[in-house]
Amino acid sequence: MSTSEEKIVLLENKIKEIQEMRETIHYIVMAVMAKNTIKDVLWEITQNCIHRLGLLDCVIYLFHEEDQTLRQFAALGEKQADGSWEVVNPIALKLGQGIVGHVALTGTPEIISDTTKDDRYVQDVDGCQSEIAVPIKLGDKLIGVLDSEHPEKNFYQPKHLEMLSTIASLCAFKIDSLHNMDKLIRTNAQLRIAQKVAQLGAWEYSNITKRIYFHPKVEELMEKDPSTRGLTFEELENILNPGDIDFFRKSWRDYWDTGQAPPGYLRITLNKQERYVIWRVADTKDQMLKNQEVVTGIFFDITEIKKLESQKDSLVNELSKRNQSLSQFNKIISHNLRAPVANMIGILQLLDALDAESPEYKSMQNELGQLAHGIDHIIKDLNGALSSTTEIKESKQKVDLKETLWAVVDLLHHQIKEVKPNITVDTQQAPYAFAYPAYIHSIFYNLLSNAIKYRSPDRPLEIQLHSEMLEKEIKIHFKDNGKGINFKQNKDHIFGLYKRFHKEIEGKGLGLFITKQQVEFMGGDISVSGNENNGLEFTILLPKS
Amino acid sequence: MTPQIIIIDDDPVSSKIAQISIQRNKPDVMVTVFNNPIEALDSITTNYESFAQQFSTLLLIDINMPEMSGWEFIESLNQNIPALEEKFKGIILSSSVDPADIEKSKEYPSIVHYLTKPFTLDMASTIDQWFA
Repeated sequence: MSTSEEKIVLLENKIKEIQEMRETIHYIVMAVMAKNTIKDVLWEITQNCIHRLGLLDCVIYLFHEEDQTLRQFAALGEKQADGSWEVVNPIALKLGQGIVGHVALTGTPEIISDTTKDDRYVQDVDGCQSEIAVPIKLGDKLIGVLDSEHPEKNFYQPKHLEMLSTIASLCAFKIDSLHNMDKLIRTNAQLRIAQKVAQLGAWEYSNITKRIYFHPKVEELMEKDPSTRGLTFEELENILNPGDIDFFRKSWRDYWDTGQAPPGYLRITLNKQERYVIWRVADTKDQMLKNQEVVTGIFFDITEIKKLESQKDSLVNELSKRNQSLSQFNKIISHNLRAPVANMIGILQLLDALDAESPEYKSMQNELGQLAHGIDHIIKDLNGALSSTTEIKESKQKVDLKETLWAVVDLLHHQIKEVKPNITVDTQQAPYAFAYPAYIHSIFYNLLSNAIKYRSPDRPLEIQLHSEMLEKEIKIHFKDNGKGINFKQNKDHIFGLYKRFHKEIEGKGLGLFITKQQVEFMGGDISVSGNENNGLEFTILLPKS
Repeated sequence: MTPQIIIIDDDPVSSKIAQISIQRNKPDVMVTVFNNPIEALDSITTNYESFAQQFSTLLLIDINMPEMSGWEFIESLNQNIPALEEKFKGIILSSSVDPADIEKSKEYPSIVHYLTKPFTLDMASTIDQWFA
């Protein structure tokens, strides 16, 4: 062959070699890019890529920053466990230790043609005489080292160095992007957990699609096709409590006018439940996109907090009611009991001073006896009243109004026999109240015994009980045709303590006071109407639940 | 001037005790009892000018009364009679031992004292110190 022919063959070989390298690189890039985890990437490089380069052995070390150590992670050849992706007896090298450690430290790839002549060489696999080590780096950041050994001396050529350096750069780039992706996914997951725990979410409004997008999504919670993402204003307003629409529109307008919107809460119905949501538009200065194509903000579900708040409120309410009735009780004691006792003491000291034969002495003596009986009466009354106001252990339940009234009639049978009132009961519309049975009993007792006590001497007593069902409440009417009261003077006083309007009849002005307390304690209301001639009509409103 | 005590108390027993006690200890004091504060209000409002000329008057006023409270009574009297505190002195006579009531009595310039029931003979013997 002539020199020129030899040159042509040489050139052709060179072209073939370059083409092979190009194909190998192409293969490696495609293979590595397709992998999604660091492990897959590194094993892909050791298994397939290195194989295509005609290398017998390859180990990838990963650098662990925390202890400045390189550890074997993926391998081909002697170091690979049979059939599995594990490294046999993975060794660890300190930074600067051995050829791998040295390359990691300097950042410069090296070919060792004869390992027996290199002091740095640390034997890992038997019978290797040459080595190539290439750092895997992204900029200045060390990720690991790609290392290969061969039984023959002088095996590794510059083309190996070139190829392995290319693979190392690719590897660094891929690992870095996987790291970032990993971080992003983890951050995202953490964010979602935090959002869920804190009931916090973000939203953004696109000025292009004119829709609001929620993260986490709220579309699923609505009766809406979840495949159309985002909500139009109309759809959002449809699930808003009508009372909050004005506030929502105003804060939106404020935002566009001033770049700021006042925070506030909205009531939104999601999944058939009304939820309290704090709605906040990020100020213009906080917006990521200044061009107003997107407006962002947060939402914060405070339903649970609101629930707790209202529980607390009702507890406080109940406590203050209790406190109130305690202080009222104190007043009952201090007046209704203190007054007759004081009188007894007063009479006793007068009896000492008065002449036993004087008419005053006799009348005072007589008063003394009456006072003692009066006190006895009050104590019995109080006993009844107190046992019903403290009996809150039992829970509210369905109370049959008709049945309860007849039970009370039964209890008052002495008076009933004497007076023979005509009692009519119509509870067909609303036969039951949701209430404390003892309270209803006590209320009917007080109303009925009052009606008997204050009946008119001019006409037979008529009593009517009638109940009706309203939207949220039941209404109980209790009517009599008794003496009534002077409404001009007394309307505000009738339920007050010590108030009595008929002096000639016994009583302590306790009954209606206690009745009002009991009705209010059950969340209801009691009022009275009527006139002096036609008796009284009490109206009781009780919540249905 | 003749000393006069007007008792305004719905409780007939309590007002009787006070009346007897005063009459025994201070027979020269004229005692009038009203068991209804509204009647007392009418009577005093009608007669206050002649009262002022003839009597040195002290009012014994109960607090808890069904028609109107002792406080309401004093306030009404105050509206009906100009410069009330110059004409009448009042003492609260109540069974209430509630400190709030005692404090409240101090808000009225015409009320000079607070007595807790029962009205005793001892109280009767020192009552003249309150006459103007």
